[in-house]
Amino acid sequence: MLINVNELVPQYISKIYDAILKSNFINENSNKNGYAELYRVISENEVEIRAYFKPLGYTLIKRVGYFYFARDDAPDNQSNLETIVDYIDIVNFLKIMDSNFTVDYPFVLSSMENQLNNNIELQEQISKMRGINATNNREFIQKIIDKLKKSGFVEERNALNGEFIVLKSYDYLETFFKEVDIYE
Amino acid sequence: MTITTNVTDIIAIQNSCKDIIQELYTYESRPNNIIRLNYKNSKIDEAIRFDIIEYDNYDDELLLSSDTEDYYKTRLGQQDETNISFIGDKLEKLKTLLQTYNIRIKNNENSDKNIKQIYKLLNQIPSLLRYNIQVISSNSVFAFKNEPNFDIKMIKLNVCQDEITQLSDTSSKIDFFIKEQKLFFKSIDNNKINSVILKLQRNSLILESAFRKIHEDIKNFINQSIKDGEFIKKLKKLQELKSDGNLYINTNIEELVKIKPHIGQTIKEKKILRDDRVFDFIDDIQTIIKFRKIKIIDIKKDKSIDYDINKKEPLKKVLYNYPKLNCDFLLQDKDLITFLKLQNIEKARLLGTFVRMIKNFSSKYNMENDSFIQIENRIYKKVLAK
Repeated sequence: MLINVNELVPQYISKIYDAILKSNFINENSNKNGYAELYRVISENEVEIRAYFKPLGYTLIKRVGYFYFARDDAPDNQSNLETIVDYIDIVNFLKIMDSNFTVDYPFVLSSMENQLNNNIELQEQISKMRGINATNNREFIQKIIDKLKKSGFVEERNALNGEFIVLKSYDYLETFFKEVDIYE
Repeated sequence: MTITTNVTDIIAIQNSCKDIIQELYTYESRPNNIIRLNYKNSKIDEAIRFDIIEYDNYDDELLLSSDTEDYYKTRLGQQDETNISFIGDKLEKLKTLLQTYNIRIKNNENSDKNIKQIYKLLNQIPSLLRYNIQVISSNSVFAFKNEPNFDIKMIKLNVCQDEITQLSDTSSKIDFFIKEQKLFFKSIDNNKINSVILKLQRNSLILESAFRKIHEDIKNFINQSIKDGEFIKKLKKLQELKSDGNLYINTNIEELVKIKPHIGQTIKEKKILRDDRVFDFIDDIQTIIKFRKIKIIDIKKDKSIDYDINKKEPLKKVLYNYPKLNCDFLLQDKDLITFLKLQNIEKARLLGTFVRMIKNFSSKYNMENDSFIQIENRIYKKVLAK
């Protein structure tokens, strides 16, 4: 296949490459790093970008409202498994906190903390989550959200009042867990 | 103590308390002492006496009475409680009024009052139907989107589903009643009543489609919530299996991780260090050096070390922006060494840069063992982007 590099808007290639190196999702509902614009560019040039990055060992994956690149060479399955298993507790905890916690869900840290303070089921849940060590509920919530933020699943919208939004890429986790089969 | 029943007095009390009502409507309840301090000119005690405002002596707080709150909620379209049975009651009352009217007509008695009452009741029905539709619709959307507790969400959605069915049945009863009493209403021949009947008949089709739509919406909300519920259940089970150490035995999570396309791990660009391992490329480097006619001197084992091992040499920071260099390389067609030469990279570091780029990004390059190119009488290995 011949790729017209001019059509690929080269200024975006380095941004996409940067997203690949940083292992970032390219979200439609992100307000940061120009990712919403990058999402639009990839959507409009999907075939060319897919063909461009494929020989470099990266497959463009398209999901509803976000893109990401998967590595074609031998993936580190153990590391991927550990990462995804880590998230079972977090996704479960957030669903217990609010069954509406999913893509596009807006939330405020202080309100989450209040819910945690007043919900016994959530407090029991904390004791089961051994991976997150916190001295109080506020720190616990902060650590969970920091982890999600670092992995590109949530984004801070207002630092002053701790407003966040769940990015489209959160679907990456939910879809995975929905596809897991449990043998009774 | 008797309470004055003069409407003007009540309106005056309400007006004096309008700022308090506004505040209480917004915040649900406020401390008694603060309110009294801030609104000294308000007739708070009278408002409590007329059940406009309530005083909670346990918390020492003021709040709106349920009547006042309902009044404003209804006017503002924020009411969240249905009153479907109220419509049914009105229908029953209408039937009784119709009978009374007939008796009065038979007895040649004046029936003006009855006609007025019939009109008043009939006229209330369209707005009651509309009000209940709005409440059910907004309650179902609110429950689906905002109710955090899954079990409560399902209860609320099921209540909405029952209510819309009940409202639809009540609406059908009204249609049937009007159809049944068509001749009767014609005999009354009252313009106002005729106009309400027409309004009800016209609304009937619109209502039917509204019922269908809301019913369908609620059904979808319930189905979606059931799916969410199954997901919540699954997550709980996964967590249980994880804490029991049975996650890998009782699920296909390991296989799924292998077959699903995962986002690549973060790639960190390394700096050139003195102890870099170049074993993977030693043959290629030797070939290049050989072609560059540089004599390889075998280092004798017993040869004294000609530099001070205690002397610390500061590490030079990254020499080149490798990701950028790599990007630029991928965006053009030349082989790697030709490309690097064109980048004006310092000659002494050319080989190091070459090795570094190969090491960092080897998955993206293709090296053919026997493929060398000659530039300025020197021979280099040819490396291309995959």
